[in-house]
Amino acid sequence: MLKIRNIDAGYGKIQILHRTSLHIREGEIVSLIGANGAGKTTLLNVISGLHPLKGGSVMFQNREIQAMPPDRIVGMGLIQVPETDKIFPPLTVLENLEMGAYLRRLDRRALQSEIEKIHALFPILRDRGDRAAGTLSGGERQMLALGRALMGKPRLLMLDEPSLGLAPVIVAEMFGIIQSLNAMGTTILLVEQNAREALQISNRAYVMETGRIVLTGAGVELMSNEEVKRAFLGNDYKEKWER
Amino acid sequence: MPQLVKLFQFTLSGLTTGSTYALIAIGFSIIHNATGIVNFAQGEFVMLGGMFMITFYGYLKLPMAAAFVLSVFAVAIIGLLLEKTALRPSRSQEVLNLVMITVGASIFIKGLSMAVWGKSAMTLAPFSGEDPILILGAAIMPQSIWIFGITLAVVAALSAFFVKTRTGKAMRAVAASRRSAMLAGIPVNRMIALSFFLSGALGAVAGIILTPVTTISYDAGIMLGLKGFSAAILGGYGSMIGAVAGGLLLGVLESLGAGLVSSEYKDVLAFLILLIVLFFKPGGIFGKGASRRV
Ligand SMILES: Nc1ncnc2c1ncn2[C@@H]1O[C@H](COP(=O)(O)OP(=O)(O)OP(=O)(O)O)[C@@H](O)[C@H]1O
Ligand SMILES: [Mg+2]
Repeated sequence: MLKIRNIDAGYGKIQILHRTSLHIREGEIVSLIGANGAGKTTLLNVISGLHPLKGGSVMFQNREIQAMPPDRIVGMGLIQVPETDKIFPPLTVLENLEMGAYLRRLDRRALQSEIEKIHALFPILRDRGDRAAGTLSGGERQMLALGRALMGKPRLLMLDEPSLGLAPVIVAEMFGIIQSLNAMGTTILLVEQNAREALQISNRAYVMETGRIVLTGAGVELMSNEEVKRAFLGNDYKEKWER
Repeated sequence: MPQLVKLFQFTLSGLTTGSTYALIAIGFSIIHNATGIVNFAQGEFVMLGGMFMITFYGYLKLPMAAAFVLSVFAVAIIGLLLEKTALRPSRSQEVLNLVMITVGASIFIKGLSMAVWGKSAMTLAPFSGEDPILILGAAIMPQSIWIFGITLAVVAALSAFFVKTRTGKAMRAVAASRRSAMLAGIPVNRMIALSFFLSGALGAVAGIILTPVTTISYDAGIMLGLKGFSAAILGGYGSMIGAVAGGLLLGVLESLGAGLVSSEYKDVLAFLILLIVLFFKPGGIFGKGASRRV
């Protein structure tokens, strides 16, 4: 479904991504894990058309998309929920959702029914409908961002650290929602530092280190990999988790 | 009592010019919100609006409504062209460079206008006669009523556009976060182009309704642009209510200053206000206090 080949990209003279390759098959949950600054967000932005690449190619549904503007990529159903800057703070919650469906040109009734679906998934957004999105809490913002992405009818949903800054209860809920979205037919690329949960729900995973894919395999397989354990599921992490 | 009537008279005429400042200020705000730049050609849009109206209505004798629509559309297209041919292709998308391009465009438009319309000031007959209407002892010109009415209609239509329509909401989304808008699938470049189109149209409306009151010449754009800019700063740059409040307030202050003190300092007052606001309350009346760099 998505096939990335030998991508080079960076900021100015600094190269961040070095011949990065990965692929995602329809229906999968694939996670991409890696330490701070590994280049995960940069990779997602290259895929979304926000960041230029210096080499390599990005194929989505058998079409090269690396030269397409971001709105066309969204129109093809490749939608990202970014790590930062994920909502329109001055717009109301309802307007934020509506903008997610911008390209679909729905009439009032179709729009209403799509919004209903999001409300069913995230009831809190119904109560907050007329409030400016900027007044929402971190968790609510994350739900709104995900809701807005879903309004665009994604085939492949790319989530950049969806659990960042959320309370543990909400993190669990978020992973549950990701799984059920996948069960309903959305393919998922999940970028996470919460490696344990991410690997648990993933079919496959990639490990990125300083802009290179260094390891790949089935999710559960990687969980028992010594290197992954040391780097991402280390002792201190485990202790924190069990406390 | 006559003193009160005089004050009322000055206020009325201040609100009249203030209305046009408001329209110019909204034009500045729309482009700023979409792109983050200050469009120095905004005043030229105003001048062009007046010039086209004089051409279509005064010379070609088209019906007034047709001439009005045609003039507005012509300047809107010029705004669009400014974006498409000068700003979009620019290799550097740095704010400062883009602003300099609008400065260049302004000089270019001024020069071209001088070649087309000549150097002398031109005017237009008021839309419906010159018999003043008396209100509470103050005389109000019919043109003032046109100016209030048209400004009110334009502001109401724009507000509805930004709140009610899909495109209007998308423009607000782009203003809130360009990056986020891209990720939502909003064609950001089209929204930017639209902001120039709208600002051109707004400038033109201001020029058309103001010309019968003040006359217009090829070099009138700078002063009008600076007035609109001051109004936008006064009200809070980027805010629509701010632009309206700033425009009206500036118009009234100018008129009171000219009437009660001396008309010599009329134009200086706008800059004095601009400086005071920038110095003490850079966010403007409706700003959030934090200054935004231009
Ligand atoms: N706009 C930028 N300009 C310059 N360098 C940048 C920019 N954005 C990111 N970088 C650098 O690129 C590298 C990769 O950053 P990126 O955000 O892609 O990492 P990440 O894997 O998403 O990290 P995190 O887990 O912290 O989100 C980092 O070294 C970062 O400092
Ligand atoms: Mg990141």
